[in-house]
Amino acid sequence: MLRKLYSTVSGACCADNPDSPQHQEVLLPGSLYGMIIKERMEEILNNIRSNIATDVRNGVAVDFNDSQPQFYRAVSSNLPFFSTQSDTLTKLLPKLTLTLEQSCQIFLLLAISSRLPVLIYNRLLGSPSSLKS
Amino acid sequence: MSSAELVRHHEEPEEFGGYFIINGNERLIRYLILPRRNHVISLLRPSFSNRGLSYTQYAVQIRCVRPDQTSVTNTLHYLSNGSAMLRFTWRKQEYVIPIMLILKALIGASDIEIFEGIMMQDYENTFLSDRVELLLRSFKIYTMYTGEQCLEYLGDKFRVILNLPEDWSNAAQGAWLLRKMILVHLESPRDKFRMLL
Repeated sequence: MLRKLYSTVSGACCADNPDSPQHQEVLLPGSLYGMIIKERMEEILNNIRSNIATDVRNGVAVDFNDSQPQFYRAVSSNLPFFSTQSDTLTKLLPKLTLTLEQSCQIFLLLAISSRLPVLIYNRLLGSPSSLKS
Repeated sequence: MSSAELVRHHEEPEEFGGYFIINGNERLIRYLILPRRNHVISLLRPSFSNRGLSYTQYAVQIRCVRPDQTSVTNTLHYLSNGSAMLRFTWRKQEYVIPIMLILKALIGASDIEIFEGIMMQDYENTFLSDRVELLLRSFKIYTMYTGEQCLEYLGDKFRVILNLPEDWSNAAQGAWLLRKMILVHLESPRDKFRMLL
């Protein structure tokens, strides 16, 4: 990478065009959904961890064998597993840390479950209010 | 459909389809695209020079994909003093680290190892050798010589952000950072080092 950087600076290598299909790939719905699930899982586990840490600091006994553990408190565990409500997804999408080069209008086709065959998401980077589905 | 059939359905004969009229607006449905995975592209963006002092418009970028298909984009910025800064995003926040710090922290590379690695026997190229020399010299102000020192420095600086167990040593936190954020498609630090050169 350093070699390429220095070659670009010296002019031995010209800048690549990021808009060329040569330097692009398609984001498949499954991968996108995987990212959403991973982020949510991480959030939930972090919440549980901080709950346990607070308990340990305050001297509260942490019981892992409890069927309804105390450390689950205040942890929202609604993973969007095959959610059929399109609003769940549209709320999630703007929160995603996707790095997108194009600031132009982006339309997204998601065919996740048969009950949610097509979702047209208008302006992923803009406000979700302009959604037309 | 054939052209004749298209005309019968009140479409143009050379119609290829794929777009729709929704509420009177023309809409096109297409897949979302991303930069190609594990592939370095060089970028020339005047906006890069606004990032800070001595930043230039030159950068190279790579989108690395982990086995679980999640990705991290690493960007290497060229500075007007000849060295480079590596940029990555962690929890929606951007961080930049001098590339030398990462090269040293990854495998504890010596200066000659880095010099030979970048030069790749191309000793006639004085432009390149000048830059590498500047790169190596610019790191001297940090007064860090071993990989362990660099890892500890990284871990110390990122401890607050990483949110890792508090009993982990600075070096362990630094190593975790390198494993999770820098060229995530590669497993071993040696491979990451080679890719960065």
